[in-house]
Amino acid sequence: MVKPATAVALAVMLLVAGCDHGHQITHRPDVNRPVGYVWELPEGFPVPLVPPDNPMTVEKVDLGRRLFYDTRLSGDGSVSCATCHLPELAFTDGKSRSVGMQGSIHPRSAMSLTNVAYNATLGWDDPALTRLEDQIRVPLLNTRPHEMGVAGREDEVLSRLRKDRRMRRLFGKAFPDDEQPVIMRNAIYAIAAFERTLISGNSPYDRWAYGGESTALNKGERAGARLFFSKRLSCFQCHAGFNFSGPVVYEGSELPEPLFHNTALYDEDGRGAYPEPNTGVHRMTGRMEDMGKFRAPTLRNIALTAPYMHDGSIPTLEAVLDHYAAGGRARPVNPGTSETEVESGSDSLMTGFELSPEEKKKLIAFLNALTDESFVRRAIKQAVR
Amino acid sequence: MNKMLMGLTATAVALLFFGTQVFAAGSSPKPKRDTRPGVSEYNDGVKLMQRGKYEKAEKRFNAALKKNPNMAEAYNNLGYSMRKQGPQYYDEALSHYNQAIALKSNLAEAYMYRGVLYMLMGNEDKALADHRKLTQLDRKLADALQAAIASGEEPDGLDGLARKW
Repeated sequence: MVKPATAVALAVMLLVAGCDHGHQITHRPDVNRPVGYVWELPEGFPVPLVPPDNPMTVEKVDLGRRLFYDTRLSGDGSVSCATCHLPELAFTDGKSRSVGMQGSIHPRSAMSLTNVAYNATLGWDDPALTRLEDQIRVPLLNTRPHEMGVAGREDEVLSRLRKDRRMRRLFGKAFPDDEQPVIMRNAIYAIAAFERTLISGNSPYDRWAYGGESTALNKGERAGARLFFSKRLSCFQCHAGFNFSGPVVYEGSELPEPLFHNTALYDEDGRGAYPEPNTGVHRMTGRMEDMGKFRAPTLRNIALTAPYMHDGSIPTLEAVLDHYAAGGRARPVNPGTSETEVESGSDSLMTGFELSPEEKKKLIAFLNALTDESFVRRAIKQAVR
Repeated sequence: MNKMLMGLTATAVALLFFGTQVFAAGSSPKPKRDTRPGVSEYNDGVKLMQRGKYEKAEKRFNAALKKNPNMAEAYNNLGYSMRKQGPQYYDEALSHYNQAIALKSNLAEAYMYRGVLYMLMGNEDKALADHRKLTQLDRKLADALQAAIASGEEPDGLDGLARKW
């Protein structure tokens, strides 16, 4: 026979299991166990893929959020993840190239963390980097250049955190099975869990496409969407799907082939060479066919993430459109032949297109309509500063 | 170059659709030797539809439905075959899509076809409603329908959604 108290507990469990919204409400059979994180996803968005060895919990996300903004998690205690990923700029930094510990300049621009949970690959140019748990090690441990400068100073960094009673408690709550929870692996896993929660899907475009608000886009924005998705411009071929990005992964999806594109930004030698060290996927593989290939980032919140391209070499969205309309600024003088295209290695979609000033204005309006103000507001509110 | 671009676009969309066939909810391919009533006629229709012979395909799908009035896929492809014959058939095509969905509420391809038809008929709200439903059934088809609605252009490769039994 079921006792009344048990029956009530079961009823609560059932109620909570059926709840779609509210990421902090769930059954808690043991107060010492972490609480399962419940996704609060925008209409029409799939559930992000979470690695089995790093399940989402409320405690881990909370710890990750605090660590994300904590400068103690760097070699000299001067920078945090948020130094280059500012919430008000959709988790970019407004710089052409990011500046790490002691002013060291990164060769590439900080990528937005908007909807990073869905990215099939991470970073600009590494096909093998598919897990946030691995990606976060890059800025932490990179020495060329130093980004956060933790390499070789792990004990010092952890010692700083262990001295903080509150941090010890938060690590302990997030990783209750670990005798010594304040370790680098746990810090990384917590930040990864936090970054997976940075889901943006409430832009005017989303409200039009998913929310049933037929007037969410004004006339200019709607006309811009028409252009963006047109076969003539084919912007959506690379910035594809619900995330306006390269390939995505989510619960139940197949694992897609990683995709990278050469957008004819450089041609150093007449054969399409990109300046070192930013040679794209070529940097990882050494193969000439991978020269200048970079991942297409999400266009969500793109208006907040200037300057653009992997090296921030294009300052505005208008200039980006000019670049694509011209078929790339480094496109050979005679762009009509496929031979030069093969030689330069630029993407076959980089053929250029006519774009009137009026159309350009509409496209810009559409790109602005991909800004999710509620996402940015929430991110700023949750920032730990 | 434009031709090349269009070719690539068509190929990409066709590949996308081909790729989704295995995953489309509620409409997985059946074993080849299916002897149920109407299957043979249905398969003939699919072949014709994929070759762009929509009028002949329409006849075969009707024949399939005569033998098996509960075949949602036949209604769906019948609707498509009619829609491709011109705007004068849009209303009839719509009623066939509706029937397909009434018979099989999770037939992703029917929402895709109907969403495109709504878009062509200028009914964006209903097209977007089908898109929303499709996000629950088939993410890739949903993305393709979203692009179609947003652009107002019919996507390439829709013939490839029909599958034989």
